[in-house]
Amino acid sequence: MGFRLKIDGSGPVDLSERCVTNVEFHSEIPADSNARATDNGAALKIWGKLLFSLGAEAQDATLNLAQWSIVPSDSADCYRNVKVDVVAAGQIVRQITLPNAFVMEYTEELDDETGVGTFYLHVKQKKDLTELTAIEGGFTQ
Amino acid sequence: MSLRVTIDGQQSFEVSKECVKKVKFMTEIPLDSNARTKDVGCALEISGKILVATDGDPFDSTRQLALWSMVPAENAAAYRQVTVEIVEAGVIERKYTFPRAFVIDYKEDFGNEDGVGTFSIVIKQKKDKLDLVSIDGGYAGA
Repeated sequence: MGFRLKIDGSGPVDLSERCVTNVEFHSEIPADSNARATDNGAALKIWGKLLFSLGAEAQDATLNLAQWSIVPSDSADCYRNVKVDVVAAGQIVRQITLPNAFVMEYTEELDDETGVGTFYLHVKQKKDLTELTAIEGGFTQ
Repeated sequence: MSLRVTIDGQQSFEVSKECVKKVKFMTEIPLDSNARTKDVGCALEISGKILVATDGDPFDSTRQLALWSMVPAENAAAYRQVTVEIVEAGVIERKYTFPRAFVIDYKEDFGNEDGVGTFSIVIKQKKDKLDLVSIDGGYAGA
């Protein structure tokens, strides 16, 4: 099973199966609601590796993730389209699209033991536009 | 992999790359926000070893970190410029620059088993100066 991450915007990100290690989709609904609440959201958590290109030949897309995380809220650029594909056996098991996602958490860790760093990105769909979240799947790639 | 930490300010110093073991960059954004918030901060956590000078090294750079953590708020030296460079196979993978950084946590840990002590420092960019933070990388250099 592999994951592909694609983010559009001023710093496009296109990460392949080699880079992304873990993806979590979460519907954020208040746990104490007595009936179906309108206060629901959609979020994605993505973990992966900071692979660098030998000789700096290819552009490092994870750098755009780090730069996105500090874009100020007055810039139109802070909302981007995030698409995650879950691929297994030639099939797209899930294709989750958050068309107006913003960064909630971003962490990068690098140490001298593992050799490659890791990142963690937590994005959320703008809450009033939760209905635009698309969850598709079950088709061939 | 080599982690190069430079601190500029009233007393500039470099934490030697033999000392630094781990660097973590993190954003600090309220987790209950419904849209992109203005309340964005970012921080760096640097941890490593406190190495003893055995052949007359000029000074222990980690001690300078400890001294920085004790600078009072009314002193201009409380804010310093921190640059962290992560070099892998001749490529600068990341270069974080925090031009108005202050210490929010500093810890030293010694025990009688390890032989060397460890340190951990968390620094944060002054929140209203977040736009001065820069993250570069992906270019060749040593």
